[in-house]
Amino acid sequence: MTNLSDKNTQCESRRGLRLALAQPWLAMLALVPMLLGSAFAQRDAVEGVDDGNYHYQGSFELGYRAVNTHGSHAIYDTFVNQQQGPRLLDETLNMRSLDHQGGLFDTLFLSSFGWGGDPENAARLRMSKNKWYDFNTTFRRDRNFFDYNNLANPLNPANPYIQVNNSPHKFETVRRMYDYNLILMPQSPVRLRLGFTRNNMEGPAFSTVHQGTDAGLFQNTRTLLDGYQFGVDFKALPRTNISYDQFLQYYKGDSSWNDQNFPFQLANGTPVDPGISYNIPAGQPCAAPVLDATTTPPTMNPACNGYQSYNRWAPIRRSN
Amino acid sequence: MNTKGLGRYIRFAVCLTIAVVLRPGAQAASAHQKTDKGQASFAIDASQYVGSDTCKTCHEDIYKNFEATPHWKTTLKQHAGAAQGCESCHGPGKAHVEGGGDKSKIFTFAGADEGEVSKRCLSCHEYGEERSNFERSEHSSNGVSCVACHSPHHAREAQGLLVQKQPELCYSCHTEVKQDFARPFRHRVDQGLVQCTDCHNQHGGFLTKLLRSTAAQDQVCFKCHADKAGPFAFEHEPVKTEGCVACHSPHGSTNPRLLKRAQINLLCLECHTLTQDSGTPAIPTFHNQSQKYSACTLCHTTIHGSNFDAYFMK
Repeated sequence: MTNLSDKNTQCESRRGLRLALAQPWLAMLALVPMLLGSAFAQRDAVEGVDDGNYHYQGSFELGYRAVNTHGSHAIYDTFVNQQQGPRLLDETLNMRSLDHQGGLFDTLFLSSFGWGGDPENAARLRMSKNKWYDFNTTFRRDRNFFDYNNLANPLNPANPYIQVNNSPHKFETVRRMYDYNLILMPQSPVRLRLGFTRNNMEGPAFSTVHQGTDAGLFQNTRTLLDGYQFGVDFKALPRTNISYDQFLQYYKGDSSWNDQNFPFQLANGTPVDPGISYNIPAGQPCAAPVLDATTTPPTMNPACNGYQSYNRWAPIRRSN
Repeated sequence: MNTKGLGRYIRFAVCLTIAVVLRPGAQAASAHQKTDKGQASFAIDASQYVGSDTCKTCHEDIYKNFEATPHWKTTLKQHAGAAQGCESCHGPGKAHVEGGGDKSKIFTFAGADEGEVSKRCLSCHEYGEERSNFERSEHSSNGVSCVACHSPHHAREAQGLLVQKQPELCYSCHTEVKQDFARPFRHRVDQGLVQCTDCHNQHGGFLTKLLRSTAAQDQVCFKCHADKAGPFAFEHEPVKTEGCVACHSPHGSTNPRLLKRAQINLLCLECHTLTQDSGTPAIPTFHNQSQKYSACTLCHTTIHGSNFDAYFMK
């Protein structure tokens, strides 16, 4: 018997122990650092300090995320996916030149949140110098966990040979997005714009392929999109802005799929996968799939639909 | 018009354009002329301006806030001329001062006509792709002026001088959207990962719903979901013709894939049903919906488009 969840170790690597906080006071105690951090952050945000030619304002929120889950952890992770542990919940830094004539920059604003294990992190930076440039950049990372088993419908017949304990399309991917935008001479009649963006997604997942039967596949997801931008604006006439933009995009898809579930064999010993849909009355994978149940693994009827192996790698390159 | 006449007309047009562009102070003058009721109803008279230092004597707290914002740049030399600092936006202040602080003698944004407010802001901010379409936007046409979201003197958010942080600012009007993001499956707007303005250009654009488009002028969804953009050897036509929202409810849904229907099969059947009017192929007879309880996408895994299978199975 093959258990599809046994193949999940690559998907489960991030899962840790969960502390059950039965006492409400313990949960309240965990909130204290966060509340203190928030209070300090508010006070600092109002006051700030002057040093040299800059005014500084900053805040940070440190906290501890206490998690108490009961029931399906898979559903919790699919919906919420916030795990236990210390966090840098939020952080900001605001610098402003006192005479608006700073050296490298007149203003700088940095903010970020979610560091330490939260599924969503982001950092944003903006710098500008009057008349010279305006630069902003963003980094975002989001962990996407999905294990919503759409085969868990009780009307679906149970599969005695392949226990589908997870969604056949489960995934645990990470998307990282980078955005950089620079405007040169933002207040002049002619200004230049430069931009770069990167979108990278990778991680393990499950998928299926339907050819006679539905084979459960392990999918190694890897995609990358790079985008470049060059633009120029002309402010020649009142209330008129003439812009020229050139965009270049390069997409790279390197995902691969392979079958790792072979709970049957043929009479000659060749491993075979009958698929994850097992509904004999409906002929899936066939009316009589088991030829000999006494062998290990069971011997499958060669007239049935099944896979002896499946590998697919489909590198895709696209530019526009 | 003969060729000679046409050439003369073109030369005249070019000379006129150059004259307008090179006219001294053309930008500054035009900006201020249109700020009063949108028409050139007042000429710039330097004697009517008192300067920001005069304003500061009574409005010190406001000046302190103003000094910390990018608008302070309006006091720099590049704005030399009559209107600088406070009077760049509020207009000449001499009558206001001589009237003992009479509010009717100076332009105040609070309570002013929304169109007039926006015109004053746009006189500087309308250039660039972000805000040049504001006057044709749904926000503008529904009476939402700049100061509904921005506060030059009392901003809570330093970036953009916003009166409130996203998404709460947007939720303050768009309450129906707020509940969308409370659904079980949603884009992570409340968590801060995605902002409303990542997908929407609140200042207006060329698409409905104030939607942005990607660099390649595709739907904004493809900026993040790049693997769905294609082009594919086998396209699922609705992706290209009707767009992502033909099937998806992008803000939030009870369906794990943000679909418009909780059950995938029902969504697919809305098009894939044999009718006389639709060219969409109906589901084949061996897809007995009374026996199949699995989602269509269990087998049709590459439903957005495929390079390998016309039926989107791989």
